[in-house]
Amino acid sequence: MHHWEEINVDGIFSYKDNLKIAHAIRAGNTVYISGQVALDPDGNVVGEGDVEAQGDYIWGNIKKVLEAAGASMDDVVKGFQFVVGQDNFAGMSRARRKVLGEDPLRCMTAIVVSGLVKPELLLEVDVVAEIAE
Amino acid sequence: MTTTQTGKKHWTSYTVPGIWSLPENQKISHAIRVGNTIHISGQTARGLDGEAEGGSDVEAQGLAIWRHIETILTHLGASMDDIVKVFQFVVGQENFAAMSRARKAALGEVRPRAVTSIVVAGLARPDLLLEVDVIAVLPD
Repeated sequence: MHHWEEINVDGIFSYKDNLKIAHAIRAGNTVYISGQVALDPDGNVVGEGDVEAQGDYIWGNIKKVLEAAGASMDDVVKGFQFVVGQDNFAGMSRARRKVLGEDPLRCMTAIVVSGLVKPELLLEVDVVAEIAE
Repeated sequence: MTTTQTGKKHWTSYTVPGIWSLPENQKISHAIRVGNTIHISGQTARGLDGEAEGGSDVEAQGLAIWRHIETILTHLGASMDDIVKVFQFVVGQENFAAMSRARKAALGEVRPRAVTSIVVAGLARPDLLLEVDVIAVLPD
């Protein structure tokens, strides 16, 4: 048994094996999620041109990955948001606010980037979660 | 100003007085402590009035940011010495050196830390030229 565990979830886009990228890693009670983008399992862009729709899809996948790792949205302590286009900042934030709901406030860092893995992708989100003992 | 907030049992979320914060409906705090680890949200040069301290001078923005980070860490019982990892996001390659000067002024040059720095296309507002995010670990 390795001291950390790779988490991969069916129904979520994943890179080819030779890219060596997991959906998440759980090390002890800490879960690190790879940056998620709005690609369906076949690699098609979801919510093209709509950053909020992309955000909704991404957070839905993050929830699934967290659950597969034995965590939940309540355990998210830190997020990174990477958005293409300053004008998409508000849409990005709307998607996040929907899922973080009434839970306590979280740490978040958000930056505008020049691009992501495909030109149609407008948002990438990466989170760290801490599971209760 | 809002004060410290308590989160779930295994981690605590903090909003620190004297530091600009987003409206609460944005669901973003200044810091979270889980065990001995402290995560800090990316800080910008925004003062309490929401305007960038230091104007368009990246080094001045950086010094303001590091003051904010120190205030947050102090509020959580930590110090600048406890910082183990730094992420710096700067707008404009030409601002890289000024960003580094601010960090060195804040952290000193004696003890190296893990640092990742990238040039970004922008931040939350066009007048913000630097964002810094740190992870700190408290002694046992």
